[in-house]
Amino acid sequence: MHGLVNRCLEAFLRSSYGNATWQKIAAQVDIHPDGFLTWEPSPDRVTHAMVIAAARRLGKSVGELLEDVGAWLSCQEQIRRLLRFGGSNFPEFVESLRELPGRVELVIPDLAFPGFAVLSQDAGRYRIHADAHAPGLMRVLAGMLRVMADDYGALAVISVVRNRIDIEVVLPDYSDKRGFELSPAGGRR
Amino acid sequence: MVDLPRLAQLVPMHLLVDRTGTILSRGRTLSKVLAGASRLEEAFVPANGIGLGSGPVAGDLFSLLGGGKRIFLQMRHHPDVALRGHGVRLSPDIALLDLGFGIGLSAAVQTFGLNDSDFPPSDLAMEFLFLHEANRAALQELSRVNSRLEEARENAQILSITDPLTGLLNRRGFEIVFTRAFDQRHRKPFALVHLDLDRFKDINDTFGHATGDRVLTEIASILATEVRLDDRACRVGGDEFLMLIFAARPEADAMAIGKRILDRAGSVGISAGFGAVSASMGVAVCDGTGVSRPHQLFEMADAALYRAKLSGRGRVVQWSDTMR
Repeated sequence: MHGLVNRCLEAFLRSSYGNATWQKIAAQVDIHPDGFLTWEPSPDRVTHAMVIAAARRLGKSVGELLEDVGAWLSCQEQIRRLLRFGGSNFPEFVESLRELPGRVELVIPDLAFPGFAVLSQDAGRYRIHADAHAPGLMRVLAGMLRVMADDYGALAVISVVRNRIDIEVVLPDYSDKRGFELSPAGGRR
Repeated sequence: MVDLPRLAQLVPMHLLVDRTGTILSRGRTLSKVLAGASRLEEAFVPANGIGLGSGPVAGDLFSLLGGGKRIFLQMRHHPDVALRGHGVRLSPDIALLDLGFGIGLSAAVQTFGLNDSDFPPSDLAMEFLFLHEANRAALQELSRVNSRLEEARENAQILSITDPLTGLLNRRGFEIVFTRAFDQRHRKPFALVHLDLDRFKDINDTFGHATGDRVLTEIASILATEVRLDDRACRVGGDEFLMLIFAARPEADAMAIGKRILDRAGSVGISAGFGAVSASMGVAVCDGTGVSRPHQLFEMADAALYRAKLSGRGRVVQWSDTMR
């Protein structure tokens, strides 16, 4: 697994549950308490063990934990902004997800982000299928979608089953969307 | 026949101009950029060999159109924004240009308050802006990684020259500071003090290594507080310590510091009946005269220490020629 995935999980656990909880989880799966120092890849079993140990300690299912990770990611302002480049409203954003793996690859070519298909059968109804069998990724993506629906001010029903997500956009403009300027706050850098 | 309103929607960065430089039509995004300009020279300054305005202007511009040639138009009131693109002649007197911001996209977005609806889906502007921010985020993360690696390297370096028991420099650390001091001995004289605890083996044998370690730690603490900020103290092994005392008259300062250490060492408690902890010290001065090799200085300090031991322990002895 790419080191950035492990780093993301570590940052999520530290930020949401504190350093002490992180260190207990790290100790349980034999990870250095200082966390992941670099982006060096590690065996997948390290990531899986960390997720399972965290879910048990926090009293959640693995799926719930991964959805929380996705929600947390979307709440990080830098990530939120990057996601908002996907479209000017929530349906556009969902449709743009088919380009997400390509965009990720542009920035981090070795991340090996799994691809997925975005299908639209009826207006406002979408189905996302992971190319590979990637139920974990679909859980993370579902968490991200829920936060982004709020961000765009849309009312949407999002359900996830294994490697498939179903999205029904009930009201695209249900409430005010959060601000998004193409130029980040603080001016040109 | 070109439908100008539809053209403005479909090609938001287009410009329709005539040979005199009059702007006949502009795309909806370019409308934000050009504001009320009605002629090329009001919005742009010459660039890329293109003169603007009447006369040769249009000749210059028109001669560049077609054949895949690129044109650059530098904005008159925004020096950091230039447009680039290409164009075709629709008639001998009318040209249609399709322009973009190129590398100045971020500047243009900020300058003109552009948003995602200002760029058509076929334009890569959103990808460019996405990459711009994503790269910055990735670099921030890499910078964090670099900082942590640097921190870890510094910690490892400190650990490699630190005695784990006492926190003083270890032999390796001492060799580093000693080499530097010896090289600078002509302008920065110093004294080398060799300290050896008296009867330390008895302490270890009688009270155990835990007590021995406590004594070493307390003695190290005394050394660390008695030497000055620029001086150095180290534990080279067992119950042996070395100090470098830098001063204009190092022999006097080293003797004074040595005596203060002796006084305080007596207060280190062990057990009733054992008596006070004491130490013997040998002092050798290095001021650029007499000593040409480092090992000579160590031999001198060692000889002085030996004399201190022979003379009854618990004292500081300065090296003299009589010890040769």
